[in-house]
Amino acid sequence: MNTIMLTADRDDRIIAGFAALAIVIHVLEAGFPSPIPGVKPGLANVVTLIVLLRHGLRSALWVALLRVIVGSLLVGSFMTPGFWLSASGAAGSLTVLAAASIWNRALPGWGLSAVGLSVLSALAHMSLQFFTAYTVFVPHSGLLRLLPPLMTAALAFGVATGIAASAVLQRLSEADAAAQTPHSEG
Amino acid sequence: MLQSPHLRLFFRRLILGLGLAVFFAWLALRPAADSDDNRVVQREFLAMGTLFSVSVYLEPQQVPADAEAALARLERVLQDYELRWRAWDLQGTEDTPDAHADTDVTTATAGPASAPVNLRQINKVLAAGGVASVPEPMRPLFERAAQLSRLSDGRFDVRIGALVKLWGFDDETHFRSTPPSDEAIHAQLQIQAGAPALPTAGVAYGPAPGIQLDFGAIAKGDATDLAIRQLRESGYPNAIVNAGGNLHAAGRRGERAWRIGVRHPRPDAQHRLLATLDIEGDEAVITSGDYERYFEFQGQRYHHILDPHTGTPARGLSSVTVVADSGAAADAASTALFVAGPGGWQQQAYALALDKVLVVDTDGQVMATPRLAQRLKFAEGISARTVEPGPAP
Amino acid sequence: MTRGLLSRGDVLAVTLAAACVGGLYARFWQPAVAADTVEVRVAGTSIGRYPLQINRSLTVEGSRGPLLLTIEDGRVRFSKSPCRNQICVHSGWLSHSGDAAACLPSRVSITLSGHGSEALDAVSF
Repeated sequence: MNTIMLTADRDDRIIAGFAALAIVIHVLEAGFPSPIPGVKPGLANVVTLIVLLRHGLRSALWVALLRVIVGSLLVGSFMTPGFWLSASGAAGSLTVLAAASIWNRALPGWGLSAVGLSVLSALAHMSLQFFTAYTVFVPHSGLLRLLPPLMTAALAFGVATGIAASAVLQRLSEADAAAQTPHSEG
Repeated sequence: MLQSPHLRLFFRRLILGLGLAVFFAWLALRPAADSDDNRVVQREFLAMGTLFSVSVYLEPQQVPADAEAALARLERVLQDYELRWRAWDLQGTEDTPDAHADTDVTTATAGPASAPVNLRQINKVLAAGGVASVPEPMRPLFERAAQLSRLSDGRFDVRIGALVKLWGFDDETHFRSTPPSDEAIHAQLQIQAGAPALPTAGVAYGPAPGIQLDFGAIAKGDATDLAIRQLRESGYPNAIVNAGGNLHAAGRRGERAWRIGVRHPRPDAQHRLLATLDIEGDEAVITSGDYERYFEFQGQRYHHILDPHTGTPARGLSSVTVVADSGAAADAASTALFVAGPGGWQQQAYALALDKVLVVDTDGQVMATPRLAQRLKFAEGISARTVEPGPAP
Repeated sequence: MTRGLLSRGDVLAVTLAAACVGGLYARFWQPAVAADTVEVRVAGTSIGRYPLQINRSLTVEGSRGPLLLTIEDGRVRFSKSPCRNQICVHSGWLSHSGDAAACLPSRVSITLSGHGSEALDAVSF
């Protein structure tokens, strides 16, 4: 690790690169209208998921953290309700991903791949955002009626991003294989 | 610049993304399905011993403030109506707006000192053995009641006031917990049998010692008619009046019809409604049931719908709903059908020329006339047998 | 990891997730005629609106003493009333928009409302 000198090692570059990608998605997603302002489908989670599957939980955590902070700074929602919603969503999805990696280690036979992880994290993302929105910002009962369709949307997005993520992972591992030949590094 | 395949890919995705965003924006912002909600003005108040809820649907040019004023006027009219038709003075009524009741009505319509101006005074004259003249504004409902009483063979009868009092159903605050003695009931039935019928074109009634008049089984329905009429005259043809579960609706609620439900007489977790119904035009929906005003004594339920012929609560049915143009007629008819019971309601409906009736018997069987059955949307798990109203087989 | 798009674990996860979402519909999307709010009035004046999805008990001070209202699983009822005839308690559980009950002696009334195109305007009883 880079303890004294601020030289970026490979991990840093990977985290930075993925975080940048996640931030872009985060910013684009901010333009999405939502029945509850600030509650988003969490498309940026697909990046967290890919990082988790390729580089482990630590890197995924970094990417998520950078995405939430920098993303909301860029959108201008830092420290506003929208920020806390994103943060709680990301926290929810990371918690589930962490639990899932423990599960995958404990029960390899029943291991979760991209689609399963993505669905679970999307649902966790949405429920935590909703929980925050409902308990902290607008405890209005009308909101509860929105929960089922929002969770349906999360489920659909989860499946879609999961499929996308597994396609990306496939490509990346093909690229990795190609990268064994020296000239394609960097 | 667009030569780069990556850039082309980027733009393709951007356009796709924007398209999706537009789609989602449309989904979120499209006009709410029920934007009629904010065109409805509602007022609730307590009158005639029940909870009134009146809603009007505003025409495009109408504003809520005017409608609220019209509903406030209606509330006062119904309070006056209550003062006119209440059968007796209430006891222990420190919390009812009744303290100045007599002065209000009396000063407004005072005739000669002896002429009663409201039902309480008529009952006082009858109790004193006199002949009570019926004040002009009360005559139409007297005539209506006399006619309905005749058509129902006395199953609907406003002369049961003393019986109602005997049972303690007259005052919300003083219910009994035991039925009256058979002797007392029998004595009252004798008095009723000997008393003159309500005159069909009567301007006076009596002498009829021991008789007290109670319009409780027709007045709420009539009040809903009055309310709808007054709202229409005030320029609100689209309205629904709920007088403690006695409904009368007119016109529409914007894009859709007024939609009402009929409560299940023996509700459980799944079935709190029997059915729902869209109101067509101007219709009253009135239900008589054994499930609200009752007391229990030694495991037996004694409810408030008394059979004037036996002097006891009518048995066999648990709920009768009548849909008709007139609330007064539907109100009296629902009582008459309830009293007629499982074997007699079809014939009674026929005699009263009713074609829209929904009945539940105490075994839970649901029956409806074809005209009503085809319009009802029954709750899940509820099915009705279609029964034609008709003369006895 | 197993080859193919979905592993056994994935299928399990997606099925469970879908079941949970289905459960949410059952819990929060009762028939559209169901009400979502109850308005409590004393002598015609509103003293509050309460969501029916949050279970709670309310004590309402009527003109003859306290009444107990219970809100539970999307429905509401008068549970205790100081009056003799108990008409309001006999009304039982109410859950549909447009439904109402009142304790006349106490001058306390409750009215249920909901929204959506299936909402009822009144209930006959």
